[in-house]
Amino acid sequence: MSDLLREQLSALMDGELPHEECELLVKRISNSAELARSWHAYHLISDALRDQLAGRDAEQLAPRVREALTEENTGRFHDAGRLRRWSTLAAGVAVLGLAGLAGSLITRHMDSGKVFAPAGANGTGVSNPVHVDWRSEPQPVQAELSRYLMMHDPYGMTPNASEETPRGAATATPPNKATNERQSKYPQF
Amino acid sequence: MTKEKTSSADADRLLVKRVQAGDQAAFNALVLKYQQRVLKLVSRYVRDPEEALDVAQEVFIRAYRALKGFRGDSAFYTWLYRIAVNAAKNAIGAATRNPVEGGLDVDDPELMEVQRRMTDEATPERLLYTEELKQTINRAIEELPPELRRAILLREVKGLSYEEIAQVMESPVGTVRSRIFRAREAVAQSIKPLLE
Repeated sequence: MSDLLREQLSALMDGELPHEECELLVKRISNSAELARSWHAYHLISDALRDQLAGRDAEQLAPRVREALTEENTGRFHDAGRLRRWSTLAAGVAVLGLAGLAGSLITRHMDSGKVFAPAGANGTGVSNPVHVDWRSEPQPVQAELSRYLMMHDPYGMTPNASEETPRGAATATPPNKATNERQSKYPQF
Repeated sequence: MTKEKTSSADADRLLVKRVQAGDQAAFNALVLKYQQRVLKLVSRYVRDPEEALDVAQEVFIRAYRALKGFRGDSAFYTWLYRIAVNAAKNAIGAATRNPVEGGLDVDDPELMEVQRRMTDEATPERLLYTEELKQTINRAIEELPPELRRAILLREVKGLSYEEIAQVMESPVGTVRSRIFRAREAVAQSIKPLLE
């Protein structure tokens, strides 16, 4: 890069460059990394002499903005800070949603006393509709969760254990006294 | 007959025109020009340096997006300044709604600057870099030949035009332009290691 170009650049930043030289030079700043470096250095010197320095952090801005705009132009999320915040928020909402959904399902199924069986679990190969009593009153989640686990214990006692119920498939019979006594064996959540 | 000169604001306008025509590199030139000033401005409002940097980045991105609608009624920096102040105020939204104890006015950058200095959020590394840069520049200027030193100081510190400097120094305008350029080049060489 010639001295003449850099001298023009120096005059441009002072607003002292003739119009006819200006447009071409501005175009060159866009296209020449070397000219852009001089442009940067001259302004940094000017900022220092005018007590406008913010410090080293400011030097990260141009590359960060360039990267963000490139990402934005290619359809990716541009703002790392915002992306972090949104990711955290989304993760939180997802966890809460899953927990709520799980709690709601367990409460509804267990409280009705008629737990769901997988479709076709009656051995006929024909799907049965899942029976859920939606009018049931919610009970404390911890107790319900323990009951749920107990009901799905493959070694658990069920009132109709003599019947040929597929292993793991639950019956629609409410838990009896024996099963209630087993609750204490499970940790409270 | 003297040639019509382009002001600094006109140079910005040309860069803006190029950005509006889709030249992203022209926007980079604007960021390089204003990054120190914008971060300094934002840091008067936003105390945390990391957050201030995020806000300053957001300022430029907002400016880039809004640039299509920029008609040049005001200077580019005046427009950018408003975006920066709004972004900084939004970032400290809670503080704006509930002014800091003692009735500190967040609309007053001077008071915010005092508070910022009192809290001294700048890390030693940050201060060290800024001080080192300033010292390097000052030293390089002191080492310049007197006519170059005088020319650049009249321009940068006193804000005189080339015509005025030519009168003060009793030299042609072309000589003034050349002296200022050579002064900048010498100083730029001295800070090169700090920028790498």
